[in-house]
Amino acid sequence: MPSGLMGLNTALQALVASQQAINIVSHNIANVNTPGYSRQQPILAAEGAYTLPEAQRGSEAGQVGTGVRLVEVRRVADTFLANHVRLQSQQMGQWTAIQDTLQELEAILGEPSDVGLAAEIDSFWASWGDLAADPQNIALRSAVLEAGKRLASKFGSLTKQISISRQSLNHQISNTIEEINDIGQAIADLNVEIARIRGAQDTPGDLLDQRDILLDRLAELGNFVVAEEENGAVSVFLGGHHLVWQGQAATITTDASLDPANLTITWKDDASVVRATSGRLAGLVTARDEIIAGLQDDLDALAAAVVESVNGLHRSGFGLDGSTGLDFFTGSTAGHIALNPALDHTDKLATAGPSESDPTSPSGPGDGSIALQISLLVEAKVMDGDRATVNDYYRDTIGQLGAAAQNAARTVESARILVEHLNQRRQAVSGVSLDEETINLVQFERAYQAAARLVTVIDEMLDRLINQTGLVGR
Amino acid sequence: MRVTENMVWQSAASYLNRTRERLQRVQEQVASQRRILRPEDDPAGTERALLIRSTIRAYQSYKRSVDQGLARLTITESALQRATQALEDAVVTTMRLRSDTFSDAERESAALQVEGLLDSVLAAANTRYQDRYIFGGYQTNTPPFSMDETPSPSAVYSGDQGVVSLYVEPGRTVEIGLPGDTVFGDALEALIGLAEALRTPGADLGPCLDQLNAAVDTVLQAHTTIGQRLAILQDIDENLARVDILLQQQSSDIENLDLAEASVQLASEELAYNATLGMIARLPQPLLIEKLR
Repeated sequence: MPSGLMGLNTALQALVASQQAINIVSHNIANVNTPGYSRQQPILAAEGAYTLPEAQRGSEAGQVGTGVRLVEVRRVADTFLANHVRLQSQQMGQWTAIQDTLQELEAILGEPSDVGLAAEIDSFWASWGDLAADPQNIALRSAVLEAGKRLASKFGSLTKQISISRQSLNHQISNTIEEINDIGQAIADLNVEIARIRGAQDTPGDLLDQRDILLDRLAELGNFVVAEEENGAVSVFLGGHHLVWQGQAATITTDASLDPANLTITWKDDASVVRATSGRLAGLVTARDEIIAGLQDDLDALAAAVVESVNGLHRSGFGLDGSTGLDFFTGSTAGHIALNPALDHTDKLATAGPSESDPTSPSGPGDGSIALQISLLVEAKVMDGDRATVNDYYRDTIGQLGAAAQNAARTVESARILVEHLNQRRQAVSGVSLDEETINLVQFERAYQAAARLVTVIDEMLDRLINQTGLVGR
Repeated sequence: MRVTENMVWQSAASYLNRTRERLQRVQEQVASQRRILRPEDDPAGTERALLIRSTIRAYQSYKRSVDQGLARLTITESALQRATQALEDAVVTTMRLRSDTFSDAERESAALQVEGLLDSVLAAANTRYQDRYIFGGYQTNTPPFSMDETPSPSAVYSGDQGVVSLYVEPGRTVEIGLPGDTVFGDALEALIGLAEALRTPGADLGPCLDQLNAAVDTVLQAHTTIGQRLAILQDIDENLARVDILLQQQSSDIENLDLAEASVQLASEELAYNATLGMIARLPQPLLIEKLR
């Protein structure tokens, strides 16, 4: 037969369990606004029944329960949702980086405008057209030289600004890598702690939350693959190489030795190249190596075509002082194009064609045919395998830039909407609802009150038994 | 689905931001009066806008060429008119002196008059426009015609056959220049011959008259050519003006903001923004805990 004091123990268990449950509810309420917090649930289980040994059983009922126990503090989180969010974050991270660069390039080019490259190129051709009508006019000759200088200078300044963008991207790449390394180290440290606590059969809810926040941030930066190990640690991989393995974190480093303008990104331990195909890091690299490089190539092609076509005609023409064979532009890339310093006087500008009787000397001062031909280059198909004019090519470049920027904006927006939606669903599972916790609070408080009352009842029973039984005639 | 406090606040923040983004964009458009702020707003539209701007600049260039051409051709025309006038005066004089008998003194005086006419035609042939000789082909720095006195008086042409052309329309050049050798050469020779004949007693003025008439025809022909060119340029000039208006209109249609439409959009976005703010203000609902006991 169970002892009379057994009831007291059961009541004590109830008090303790209710107190613990209320503590957990308090923790939830306190953390209602903590970012990344997953609510914790008290899991109560009935204690086993006290089993009477056979010999003493008699005819009494057997299994009588002995109370309640808090067996687990359960963290309510959905790893599937978390992974889904991280996948979309990669998209968002990657395309945000690309979008930022595209918008910066749009701003640098500044089209449509009256001071952009298109306007300068048009101005340049027009200045030759004006000169063709009156080739001896000193003011018009000066204007052509000036227009040439301005065009060269515009190419140069665009190149410079693009180069600054590239440098900025390299900075951002460095910063992103530093962040990845820091997060990797932090996850490794948490792994150790979490494994230890799991070893003691407990759930380190808050540490798991912290680790999840780090993994969320990491997901934006690259296409990291996360795998949970038996002991509760997570391993993180990128492009086949580990970033985190148990308590160890690898480091990514940048190598500027090959090409200072383009940092290469390698793992420090074995110098292999980091293969990131998604996420912010990949986006920054794409922006630098494809988008910026592509635009610079286009500008270089434009500059080269202008230099070559103008010089070809200019060399065959004669200036007012008989000069011939002079280039108009020096340089062949957008960064180096410049007005030929040998054209130090307006007389040297070639406007006249060769004389019919003697092709080695000019036809006459009134001949503006070379100037006319140069001005007609505006319609000459000198680009894209002789299929497009300089203006066509530039317009196409701008159009493609705009389309790419529009596409990037849409991709970022749709990824963002999806991330927000998935986060809402995550919150629906793991978030703290104050009303829900209030109900839990009331529930456990009542249980506590009932248990307290129970103590009083048993106390009274024992009191009656101990102090008021078997007293005869007292 | 469970609804937690966080979900409510995050949603609110997200809606608010989206509304603000849209409002911001319309405000930017209205402030700049432009529909296309960046190529990404309308990539195809941006390309068209750039094309139209280039075309406008090209047409402005054509206009300048046409103006230059008109001015020069007008000067050319008046030089030819001057030469025609002089030649016709010479014809009159020749015919008069042919029909009657005149004294040597009268013939001498006629010769002097003809020399005066010769100077006129010479001056016309050596007309300058903006400091350049216009009838010498490409040789614009030296007078095209000069008088050589030995062995006998003749007009020497020192210009060349270069013809200045202007590009005045897509795919169209118009010749502006007119080498003076044929046009004035015949006239000058005819007048020189006439003066000589007048000073030669008994000389037959018949051939001189023929020469003069031939010269008049030559000049008139040149006059017609120049007239045609002027007509072409005037026609192009009108067309350029029309095209410019059309292009400016197209440019405005593509790039400029439709203010009426934008004002409505602005009002609508502002309304949405204020409504969102109002909704957020009402979010803090009473909690269960406040209602217990």
